[in-house]
Amino acid sequence: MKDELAKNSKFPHPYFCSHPKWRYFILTTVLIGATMSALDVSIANVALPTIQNYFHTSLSNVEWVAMAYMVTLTALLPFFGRLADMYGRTRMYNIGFVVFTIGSALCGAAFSITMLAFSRALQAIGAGLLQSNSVAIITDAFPKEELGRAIGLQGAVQATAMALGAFLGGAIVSAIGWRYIFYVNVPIGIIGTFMAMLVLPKGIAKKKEKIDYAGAILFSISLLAFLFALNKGSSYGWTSSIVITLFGITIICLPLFFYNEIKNKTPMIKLSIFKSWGFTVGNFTGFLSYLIFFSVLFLMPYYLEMILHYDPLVTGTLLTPIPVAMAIMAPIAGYVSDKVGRRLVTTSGFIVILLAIFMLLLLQPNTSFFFVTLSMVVLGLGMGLFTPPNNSEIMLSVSPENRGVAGGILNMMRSLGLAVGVDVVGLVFSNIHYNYIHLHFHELSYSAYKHLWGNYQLFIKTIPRIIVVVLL
Amino acid sequence: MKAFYYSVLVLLVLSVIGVVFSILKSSKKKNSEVNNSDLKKFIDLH
Repeated sequence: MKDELAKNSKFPHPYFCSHPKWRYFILTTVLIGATMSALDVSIANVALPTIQNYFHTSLSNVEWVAMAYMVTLTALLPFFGRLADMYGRTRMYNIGFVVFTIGSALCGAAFSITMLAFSRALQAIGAGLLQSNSVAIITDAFPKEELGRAIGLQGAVQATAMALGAFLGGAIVSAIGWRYIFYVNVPIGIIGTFMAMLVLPKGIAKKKEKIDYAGAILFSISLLAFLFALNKGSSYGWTSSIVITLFGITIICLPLFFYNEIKNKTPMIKLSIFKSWGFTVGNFTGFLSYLIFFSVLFLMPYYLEMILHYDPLVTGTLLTPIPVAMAIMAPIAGYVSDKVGRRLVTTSGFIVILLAIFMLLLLQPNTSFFFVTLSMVVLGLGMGLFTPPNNSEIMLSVSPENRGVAGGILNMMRSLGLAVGVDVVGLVFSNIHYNYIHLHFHELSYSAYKHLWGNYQLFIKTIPRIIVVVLL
Repeated sequence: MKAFYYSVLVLLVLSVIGVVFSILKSSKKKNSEVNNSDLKKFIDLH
Protein backbone atom coordinates (compact mmCIF):
# COMPACT_ATOMS: atom_id res chain seq x y z
CA MET A 1 0.00 0.00 0.00
CA LYS A 2 2.89 2.28 0.79
CA ASP A 3 4.20 2.12 -2.79
CA GLU A 4 0.77 2.86 -4.10
CA LEU A 5 0.51 5.82 -1.75
CA ALA A 6 4.01 6.96 -2.62
CA LYS A 7 2.88 7.29 -6.20
CA ASN A 8 -0.26 9.07 -5.14
CA SER A 9 -0.07 12.60 -6.45
CA LYS A 10 -2.07 13.85 -3.47
CA PHE A 11 1.00 13.26 -1.34
CA PRO A 12 3.63 15.73 -2.52
CA HIS A 13 6.78 13.85 -1.54
CA PRO A 14 6.93 10.03 -1.69
CA TYR A 15 9.54 9.85 1.08
CA PHE A 16 7.13 11.09 3.71
CA CYS A 17 4.31 8.70 2.90
CA SER A 18 6.54 5.65 2.67
CA HIS A 19 8.31 6.39 5.96
CA PRO A 20 7.03 4.35 8.94
CA LYS A 21 6.98 7.49 11.10
CA TRP A 22 4.93 9.53 8.63
CA ARG A 23 2.62 10.69 11.42
CA TYR A 24 5.51 12.36 13.24
CA PHE A 25 6.49 14.33 10.14
CA ILE A 26 2.96 15.70 10.10
CA LEU A 27 3.15 16.43 13.83
CA THR A 28 6.47 18.26 13.39
CA THR A 29 5.01 20.39 10.61
CA VAL A 30 2.03 21.30 12.77
CA LEU A 31 4.35 22.09 15.68
CA ILE A 32 6.23 24.66 13.58
CA GLY A 33 2.99 26.60 13.12
CA ALA A 34 2.08 26.20 16.78
CA THR A 35 5.50 27.35 17.96
CA MET A 36 5.46 30.32 15.61
CA SER A 37 2.11 31.63 16.78
CA ALA A 38 2.95 30.89 20.44
CA LEU A 39 6.27 32.68 20.24
CA ASP A 40 4.77 35.57 18.35
CA VAL A 41 2.19 36.50 20.96
CA SER A 42 4.65 36.35 23.85
CA ILE A 43 7.31 38.23 21.97
CA ALA A 44 4.97 40.88 20.59
CA ASN A 45 3.40 41.81 23.91
CA VAL A 46 6.72 42.29 25.62
CA ALA A 47 7.48 44.98 23.03
CA LEU A 48 4.29 47.01 23.50
CA PRO A 49 5.82 49.69 25.77
CA THR A 50 8.77 50.09 23.35
CA ILE A 51 6.37 50.36 20.39
CA GLN A 52 4.35 52.97 22.30
CA ASN A 53 7.48 55.07 22.80
CA TYR A 54 8.67 54.60 19.21
CA PHE A 55 5.43 55.88 17.67
CA HIS A 56 4.85 58.46 20.44
CA THR A 57 1.33 57.21 20.85
CA SER A 58 -1.10 56.70 23.72
CA LEU A 59 -1.63 53.54 25.73
CA SER A 60 -5.14 53.12 24.30
CA ASN A 61 -3.71 53.23 20.76
CA VAL A 62 -0.94 50.75 21.43
CA GLU A 63 -3.47 48.45 23.10
CA TRP A 64 -5.03 48.04 19.66
CA VAL A 65 -1.91 46.18 18.57
CA ALA A 66 -2.77 43.46 21.09
CA MET A 67 -6.56 43.82 20.76
CA ALA A 68 -6.56 43.61 16.94
CA TYR A 69 -4.83 40.25 17.15
CA MET A 70 -6.90 38.74 19.94
CA VAL A 71 -10.31 39.91 18.74
CA THR A 72 -9.75 39.00 15.06
CA LEU A 73 -8.43 35.58 16.01
CA THR A 74 -11.25 34.74 18.42
CA ALA A 75 -14.06 35.90 16.17
CA LEU A 76 -12.85 34.03 13.08
CA LEU A 77 -11.72 30.67 14.50
CA PRO A 78 -14.97 28.67 14.04
CA PHE A 79 -15.52 30.18 10.58
CA PHE A 80 -12.03 29.18 9.45
CA GLY A 81 -12.59 25.73 10.91
CA ARG A 82 -15.74 25.41 8.83
CA LEU A 83 -13.92 26.60 5.69
CA ALA A 84 -11.28 23.94 6.34
CA ASP A 85 -13.97 21.27 6.66
CA MET A 86 -15.32 22.39 3.28
CA TYR A 87 -12.17 23.09 1.28
CA GLY A 88 -9.56 20.86 2.91
CA ARG A 89 -7.52 21.40 6.04
CA THR A 90 -4.12 21.26 4.34
CA ARG A 91 -5.06 23.96 1.88
CA MET A 92 -6.28 26.26 4.66
CA TYR A 93 -3.26 25.41 6.82
CA ASN A 94 -0.84 26.32 4.01
CA ILE A 95 -2.70 29.57 3.34
CA GLY A 96 -2.46 30.26 7.08
CA PHE A 97 1.33 29.91 7.00
CA VAL A 98 1.63 32.30 4.04
CA VAL A 99 -0.77 34.89 5.50
CA PHE A 100 0.90 34.76 8.91
CA THR A 101 4.34 35.22 7.36
CA ILE A 102 3.21 38.17 5.21
CA GLY A 103 1.45 39.69 8.23
CA SER A 104 4.64 39.36 10.29
CA ALA A 105 6.73 41.03 7.58
CA LEU A 106 4.23 43.90 7.38
CA CYS A 107 4.25 44.26 11.18
CA GLY A 108 8.04 44.55 11.09
CA ALA A 109 7.89 47.15 8.33
CA ALA A 110 5.03 49.15 9.90
CA PHE A 111 5.50 52.91 9.61
CA SER A 112 2.54 53.82 11.81
CA ILE A 113 0.63 52.37 14.73
CA THR A 114 -2.45 52.02 12.48
CA MET A 115 -0.49 49.95 9.96
CA LEU A 116 0.87 47.85 12.80
CA ALA A 117 -2.63 47.19 14.18
CA PHE A 118 -3.95 46.20 10.71
CA SER A 119 -0.90 44.00 10.11
CA ARG A 120 -1.53 42.31 13.47
CA ALA A 121 -5.10 41.63 12.34
CA LEU A 122 -3.68 40.06 9.16
CA GLN A 123 -1.34 37.98 11.32
CA ALA A 124 -4.37 36.91 13.38
CA ILE A 125 -6.13 35.72 10.21
CA GLY A 126 -3.08 33.55 9.46
CA ALA A 127 -2.91 32.35 13.06
CA GLY A 128 -6.64 31.54 12.96
CA LEU A 129 -6.16 29.37 9.87
CA LEU A 130 -3.22 27.61 11.57
CA GLN A 131 -4.91 27.15 14.93
CA SER A 132 -8.28 25.95 13.70
CA ASN A 133 -6.54 23.22 11.69
CA SER A 134 -3.60 22.16 13.83
CA VAL A 135 -5.50 19.97 16.31
CA ALA A 136 -7.75 18.68 13.53
CA ILE A 137 -4.77 17.61 11.38
CA ILE A 138 -3.16 15.82 14.35
CA THR A 139 -6.47 14.10 15.17
CA ASP A 140 -6.84 12.96 11.56
CA ALA A 141 -3.28 11.61 11.44
CA PHE A 142 -3.04 9.67 14.71
CA PRO A 143 -5.01 6.62 15.85
CA LYS A 144 -6.84 7.31 19.08
CA GLU A 145 -4.44 5.07 21.03
CA GLU A 146 -1.61 7.51 20.23
CA LEU A 147 -3.53 10.75 19.98
CA GLY A 148 -3.03 11.76 23.61
CA ARG A 149 0.74 11.52 23.18
CA ALA A 150 0.66 13.63 20.01
CA ILE A 151 -1.54 16.35 21.48
CA GLY A 152 0.54 16.22 24.66
CA LEU A 153 3.70 16.86 22.64
CA GLN A 154 1.98 19.76 20.94
CA GLY A 155 1.03 21.19 24.34
CA ALA A 156 4.61 20.77 25.61
CA VAL A 157 6.13 22.58 22.64
CA GLN A 158 3.66 25.42 22.93
CA ALA A 159 4.19 25.80 26.66
CA THR A 160 7.96 25.91 26.07
CA ALA A 161 7.51 28.55 23.37
CA MET A 162 5.32 30.50 25.76
CA ALA A 163 7.96 30.33 28.49
CA LEU A 164 10.77 31.32 26.13
CA GLY A 165 8.82 33.96 24.24
CA ALA A 166 8.89 36.65 26.90
CA PHE A 167 12.65 36.24 27.47
CA LEU A 168 13.43 36.10 23.75
CA GLY A 169 11.22 39.12 23.14
CA GLY A 170 13.01 41.13 25.81
CA ALA A 171 16.40 40.10 24.42
CA ILE A 172 15.51 40.91 20.79
CA VAL A 173 13.93 44.27 21.65
CA SER A 174 16.93 45.37 23.69
CA ALA A 175 19.57 43.96 21.30
CA ILE A 176 18.34 44.72 17.77
CA GLY A 177 14.99 46.51 18.08
CA TRP A 178 11.27 45.78 18.18
CA ARG A 179 10.85 45.25 14.42
CA TYR A 180 12.84 42.02 14.62
CA ILE A 181 10.34 40.40 16.96
CA PHE A 182 8.08 40.28 13.89
CA TYR A 183 10.78 39.64 11.30
CA VAL A 184 11.87 36.55 13.26
CA ASN A 185 8.65 34.87 12.08
CA VAL A 186 9.49 35.29 8.41
CA PRO A 187 12.20 32.59 8.10
CA ILE A 188 10.24 30.26 10.41
CA GLY A 189 7.13 30.86 8.30
CA ILE A 190 8.99 30.13 5.05
CA ILE A 191 10.40 26.88 6.49
CA GLY A 192 6.93 25.96 7.79
CA THR A 193 5.31 26.66 4.41
CA PHE A 194 7.80 24.43 2.58
CA MET A 195 7.50 21.70 5.21
CA ALA A 196 3.70 21.79 4.90
CA MET A 197 3.95 21.58 1.09
CA LEU A 198 6.31 18.60 1.34
CA VAL A 199 4.70 16.67 4.16
CA LEU A 200 0.96 17.33 4.18
CA PRO A 201 -1.25 15.86 1.47
CA LYS A 202 -2.58 18.34 -1.03
CA GLY A 203 -5.96 19.74 -0.17
CA ILE A 204 -8.89 18.25 -1.99
CA ALA A 205 -12.01 20.34 -2.41
CA LYS A 206 -14.86 18.62 -0.62
CA LYS A 207 -18.35 18.60 -1.95
CA LYS A 208 -19.45 22.11 -2.78
CA GLU A 209 -21.55 23.61 -0.06
CA LYS A 210 -22.86 27.10 0.30
CA ILE A 211 -20.85 29.19 2.74
CA ASP A 212 -22.99 30.44 5.61
CA TYR A 213 -21.97 34.09 5.42
CA ALA A 214 -24.96 35.24 7.48
CA GLY A 215 -24.01 32.88 10.30
CA ALA A 216 -20.36 33.89 10.14
CA ILE A 217 -21.20 37.61 10.24
CA LEU A 218 -23.76 37.29 13.05
CA PHE A 219 -21.39 35.14 15.10
CA SER A 220 -18.42 37.46 14.58
CA ILE A 221 -20.45 40.60 15.40
CA SER A 222 -21.88 39.10 18.60
CA LEU A 223 -18.47 37.86 19.73
CA LEU A 224 -16.68 41.09 18.82
CA ALA A 225 -19.28 43.16 20.69
CA PHE A 226 -19.01 40.85 23.71
CA LEU A 227 -15.19 41.01 23.78
CA PHE A 228 -15.13 44.79 23.38
CA ALA A 229 -17.76 45.19 26.12
CA LEU A 230 -15.66 43.06 28.47
CA ASN A 231 -12.49 44.89 27.56
CA LYS A 232 -13.92 48.38 27.87
CA GLY A 233 -16.20 47.72 30.85
CA SER A 234 -13.56 48.49 33.45
CA SER A 235 -12.38 51.70 31.80
CA TYR A 236 -15.70 53.17 30.50
CA GLY A 237 -17.83 51.79 33.35
CA TRP A 238 -20.12 48.76 33.17
CA THR A 239 -23.25 50.94 33.02
CA SER A 240 -21.89 53.32 30.36
CA SER A 241 -23.94 53.67 27.19
CA ILE A 242 -21.15 52.23 25.02
CA VAL A 243 -20.76 49.06 27.09
CA ILE A 244 -24.53 48.54 27.41
CA THR A 245 -24.91 49.02 23.64
CA LEU A 246 -22.18 46.45 22.99
CA PHE A 247 -23.84 43.93 25.31
CA GLY A 248 -27.16 44.75 23.61
CA ILE A 249 -25.66 43.95 20.19
CA THR A 250 -24.50 40.58 21.57
CA ILE A 251 -27.94 39.84 23.04
CA ILE A 252 -29.63 40.61 19.70
CA CYS A 253 -27.12 38.95 17.36
CA LEU A 254 -26.58 35.71 19.26
CA PRO A 255 -30.21 34.45 19.10
CA LEU A 256 -30.31 35.52 15.44
CA PHE A 257 -27.18 33.46 14.86
CA PHE A 258 -28.73 30.37 16.47
CA TYR A 259 -31.95 30.88 14.49
CA ASN A 260 -29.90 31.12 11.30
CA GLU A 261 -27.93 27.98 12.18
CA ILE A 262 -31.13 26.01 12.79
CA LYS A 263 -32.74 27.18 9.54
CA ASN A 264 -29.66 27.05 7.30
CA LYS A 265 -29.08 23.82 5.39
CA THR A 266 -25.30 24.31 5.47
CA PRO A 267 -24.71 26.16 8.76
CA MET A 268 -21.34 27.45 9.91
CA ILE A 269 -21.63 25.45 13.13
CA LYS A 270 -23.72 22.30 12.98
CA LEU A 271 -25.49 22.59 16.32
CA SER A 272 -25.91 18.81 16.36
CA ILE A 273 -22.24 18.50 17.42
CA PHE A 274 -23.27 19.89 20.81
CA LYS A 275 -25.44 16.79 21.33
CA SER A 276 -22.20 14.98 22.08
CA TRP A 277 -21.70 15.15 25.84
CA GLY A 278 -17.92 14.79 25.43
CA PHE A 279 -17.76 17.76 23.06
CA THR A 280 -20.04 20.11 25.02
CA VAL A 281 -18.76 19.36 28.52
CA GLY A 282 -15.18 19.10 27.24
CA ASN A 283 -15.42 22.62 25.83
CA PHE A 284 -17.13 23.93 28.96
CA THR A 285 -14.50 22.49 31.31
CA GLY A 286 -11.77 23.65 28.91
CA PHE A 287 -13.23 27.16 29.06
CA LEU A 288 -13.29 27.00 32.89
CA SER A 289 -9.69 25.79 33.03
CA TYR A 290 -8.46 28.67 30.84
CA LEU A 291 -10.59 31.14 32.79
CA ILE A 292 -8.96 29.99 36.05
CA PHE A 293 -5.48 29.85 34.52
CA PHE A 294 -5.56 33.36 33.05
CA SER A 295 -7.21 34.77 36.16
CA VAL A 296 -4.32 33.49 38.27
CA LEU A 297 -1.87 35.12 35.87
CA PHE A 298 -3.89 38.30 36.29
CA LEU A 299 -3.98 38.16 40.08
CA MET A 300 -0.51 36.93 41.02
CA PRO A 301 1.40 40.08 40.03
CA TYR A 302 -0.81 41.98 42.48
CA TYR A 303 0.10 39.62 45.31
CA LEU A 304 3.79 39.39 44.40
CA GLU A 305 4.36 43.09 43.81
CA MET A 306 1.99 44.86 46.14
CA ILE A 307 1.94 42.42 49.07
CA LEU A 308 5.34 40.73 48.90
CA HIS A 309 6.98 43.81 47.29
CA TYR A 310 8.90 41.88 44.62
CA ASP A 311 10.03 43.76 41.53
CA PRO A 312 8.56 42.91 38.08
CA LEU A 313 11.58 40.78 37.15
CA VAL A 314 11.10 38.50 40.19
CA THR A 315 7.35 38.46 39.49
CA GLY A 316 7.97 37.30 35.94
CA THR A 317 10.42 34.66 37.16
CA LEU A 318 7.92 33.36 39.72
CA LEU A 319 5.28 32.93 37.02
CA THR A 320 7.66 30.93 34.79
CA PRO A 321 7.18 27.59 36.67
CA ILE A 322 3.63 27.46 35.29
CA PRO A 323 4.57 26.92 31.60
CA VAL A 324 7.61 24.85 32.60
CA ALA A 325 5.46 22.45 34.66
CA MET A 326 2.93 22.35 31.82
CA ALA A 327 5.65 21.51 29.30
CA ILE A 328 6.83 18.62 31.48
CA MET A 329 3.39 17.28 32.35
CA ALA A 330 1.59 17.60 28.97
CA PRO A 331 3.37 14.72 27.14
CA ILE A 332 3.20 12.53 30.28
CA ALA A 333 -0.54 13.21 30.56
CA GLY A 334 -0.98 12.39 26.89
CA TYR A 335 0.90 9.11 27.26
CA VAL A 336 -0.94 8.12 30.46
CA SER A 337 -4.34 9.01 28.99
CA ASP A 338 -3.63 6.73 26.02
CA LYS A 339 -3.05 3.92 28.51
CA VAL A 340 -5.66 4.47 31.23
CA GLY A 341 -8.29 6.55 29.45
CA ARG A 342 -8.77 10.25 28.90
CA ARG A 343 -11.59 10.84 31.33
CA LEU A 344 -9.73 9.70 34.42
CA VAL A 345 -6.79 11.94 33.52
CA THR A 346 -8.92 15.03 32.78
CA THR A 347 -10.75 14.65 36.11
CA SER A 348 -7.43 14.22 37.94
CA GLY A 349 -6.11 17.30 36.15
CA PHE A 350 -9.00 19.46 37.31
CA ILE A 351 -8.60 18.17 40.87
CA VAL A 352 -4.94 19.28 40.75
CA ILE A 353 -6.07 22.71 39.46
CA LEU A 354 -8.50 22.88 42.41
CA LEU A 355 -5.63 22.01 44.76
CA ALA A 356 -3.51 24.82 43.29
CA ILE A 357 -6.32 27.34 43.83
CA PHE A 358 -6.75 26.10 47.39
CA MET A 359 -3.01 26.67 47.92
CA LEU A 360 -3.46 30.26 46.71
CA LEU A 361 -6.08 30.75 49.42
CA LEU A 362 -3.39 29.91 51.99
CA LEU A 363 -1.06 32.69 50.84
CA GLN A 364 -0.21 35.26 53.49
CA PRO A 365 1.83 38.49 53.45
CA ASN A 366 4.74 36.47 54.90
CA THR A 367 4.39 33.31 52.81
CA SER A 368 7.70 31.78 51.77
CA PHE A 369 9.13 32.03 48.27
CA PHE A 370 9.10 28.22 48.12
CA PHE A 371 5.35 27.88 48.80
CA VAL A 372 4.47 30.50 46.18
CA THR A 373 6.63 28.70 43.60
CA LEU A 374 5.11 25.37 44.61
CA SER A 375 1.57 26.67 44.09
CA MET A 376 2.55 27.86 40.58
CA VAL A 377 4.11 24.47 39.82
CA VAL A 378 0.94 22.68 40.98
CA LEU A 379 -1.19 24.91 38.75
CA GLY A 380 1.07 24.18 35.76
CA LEU A 381 0.94 20.45 36.47
CA GLY A 382 -2.87 20.57 36.71
CA MET A 383 -3.18 22.43 33.40
CA GLY A 384 -0.67 20.09 31.76
CA LEU A 385 -2.56 17.07 33.06
CA PHE A 386 -5.99 18.33 32.05
CA THR A 387 -5.53 19.98 28.65
CA PRO A 388 -4.10 17.31 26.27
CA PRO A 389 -6.60 14.52 27.09
CA ASN A 390 -9.46 17.02 27.16
CA ASN A 391 -8.50 18.29 23.69
CA SER A 392 -8.21 14.71 22.38
CA GLU A 393 -11.61 13.86 23.76
CA ILE A 394 -13.25 16.94 22.23
CA MET A 395 -11.75 16.22 18.82
CA LEU A 396 -12.63 12.53 18.87
CA SER A 397 -16.21 13.19 19.90
CA VAL A 398 -17.07 14.73 16.50
CA SER A 399 -17.05 13.12 13.08
CA PRO A 400 -13.96 13.77 10.88
CA GLU A 401 -15.83 16.14 8.55
CA ASN A 402 -16.60 18.45 11.51
CA ARG A 403 -13.13 18.49 13.08
CA GLY A 404 -12.17 21.84 11.58
CA VAL A 405 -15.05 23.67 13.20
CA ALA A 406 -14.54 21.63 16.40
CA GLY A 407 -10.88 22.71 16.49
CA GLY A 408 -11.98 26.31 15.93
CA ILE A 409 -14.44 26.17 18.84
CA LEU A 410 -11.85 24.49 21.08
CA ASN A 411 -9.34 27.28 20.42
CA MET A 412 -12.02 29.95 20.74
CA MET A 413 -12.73 28.71 24.29
CA ARG A 414 -9.14 29.61 25.25
CA SER A 415 -9.55 33.21 24.13
CA LEU A 416 -12.97 33.45 25.78
CA GLY A 417 -11.55 32.01 29.00
CA LEU A 418 -8.93 34.73 28.97
CA ALA A 419 -11.34 37.57 28.21
CA VAL A 420 -14.03 36.50 30.67
CA GLY A 421 -11.58 35.45 33.39
CA VAL A 422 -9.53 38.61 33.42
CA ASP A 423 -12.58 40.86 33.38
CA VAL A 424 -14.82 39.01 35.82
CA VAL A 425 -12.08 38.37 38.38
CA GLY A 426 -10.70 41.84 37.68
CA LEU A 427 -14.13 43.29 38.44
CA VAL A 428 -14.38 41.42 41.78
CA PHE A 429 -10.82 42.35 42.62
CA SER A 430 -10.97 46.03 41.73
CA ASN A 431 -14.30 46.62 43.53
CA ILE A 432 -13.11 45.06 46.79
CA HIS A 433 -9.68 46.61 46.49
CA TYR A 434 -11.22 50.05 45.94
CA ASN A 435 -13.55 49.70 48.96
CA TYR A 436 -10.76 48.39 51.12
CA ILE A 437 -8.50 51.30 50.34
CA HIS A 438 -11.28 53.78 51.07
CA LEU A 439 -12.14 52.08 54.33
CA HIS A 440 -8.59 51.75 55.62
CA PHE A 441 -6.52 54.44 54.01
CA HIS A 442 -8.51 57.65 53.99
CA GLU A 443 -5.35 59.61 53.47
CA LEU A 444 -4.85 57.97 50.10
CA SER A 445 -6.60 60.24 47.66
CA TYR A 446 -8.70 58.77 44.89
CA SER A 447 -6.47 60.28 42.24
CA ALA A 448 -3.41 58.70 43.80
CA TYR A 449 -5.21 55.39 43.97
CA LYS A 450 -6.37 55.75 40.37
CA HIS A 451 -2.83 56.44 39.29
CA LEU A 452 -1.56 53.42 41.19
CA TRP A 453 -4.32 51.21 39.87
CA GLY A 454 -3.82 52.49 36.32
CA ASN A 455 -0.13 51.60 36.37
CA TYR A 456 -0.90 48.25 37.86
CA GLN A 457 -3.54 47.53 35.22
CA LEU A 458 -1.09 48.47 32.48
CA PHE A 459 1.36 45.93 33.80
CA ILE A 460 -0.98 43.08 34.46
CA LYS A 461 -2.91 43.54 31.26
CA THR A 462 0.21 42.72 29.32
CA ILE A 463 0.90 39.51 31.22
CA PRO A 464 -2.19 37.52 30.27
CA ARG A 465 -1.76 38.72 26.73
CA ILE A 466 1.78 37.51 26.76
CA ILE A 467 0.43 34.08 27.37
CA VAL A 468 -2.90 34.66 25.69
CA VAL A 469 -4.15 32.77 22.78
CA VAL A 470 -0.96 30.80 23.08
CA LEU A 471 -1.17 27.30 24.51
CA LEU A 472 -2.64 26.30 21.26
CA MET B 1 -5.07 40.84 50.70
CA LYS B 2 -8.86 40.92 51.06
CA ALA B 3 -9.39 41.67 47.37
CA PHE B 4 -6.97 38.89 46.47
CA TYR B 5 -8.73 36.38 48.74
CA TYR B 6 -12.19 37.13 47.36
CA SER B 7 -10.94 36.83 43.81
CA VAL B 8 -9.27 33.49 44.58
CA LEU B 9 -12.48 32.38 46.30
CA VAL B 10 -14.34 32.98 43.02
CA LEU B 11 -11.74 30.83 41.26
CA LEU B 12 -12.16 28.13 43.91
CA VAL B 13 -15.91 27.96 43.23
CA LEU B 14 -15.23 27.74 39.47
CA SER B 15 -12.66 24.98 40.08
CA VAL B 16 -15.22 22.98 42.07
CA ILE B 17 -17.70 23.38 39.18
CA GLY B 18 -14.95 22.20 36.81
CA VAL B 19 -14.25 19.11 38.91
CA VAL B 20 -17.97 18.29 39.17
CA PHE B 21 -18.43 18.52 35.39
CA SER B 22 -15.28 16.48 34.76
CA ILE B 23 -16.67 13.75 37.02
CA LEU B 24 -20.09 13.98 35.36
CA LYS B 25 -18.42 13.67 31.98
CA SER B 26 -16.57 10.58 33.15
CA SER B 27 -19.74 8.96 34.46
CA LYS B 28 -21.62 9.38 31.17
CA LYS B 29 -21.73 6.56 28.69
CA LYS B 30 -18.80 6.80 26.34
CA ASN B 31 -19.53 8.60 23.08
CA SER B 32 -18.72 6.88 19.87
CA GLU B 33 -15.21 7.96 19.02
CA VAL B 34 -13.99 8.02 15.47
CA ASN B 35 -10.64 6.40 14.93
CA ASN B 36 -8.21 7.06 12.09
CA SER B 37 -5.40 4.66 11.86
CA ASP B 38 -3.98 4.62 8.37
CA LEU B 39 -2.53 6.95 5.83
CA LYS B 40 -5.17 6.18 3.24
CA LYS B 41 -7.89 7.50 5.55
CA PHE B 42 -5.78 10.54 6.35
CA ILE B 43 -5.30 11.36 2.68
CA ASP B 44 -8.99 10.84 1.99
CA LEU B 45 -9.83 13.30 4.76
CA HIS B 46 -7.60 15.91 3.21
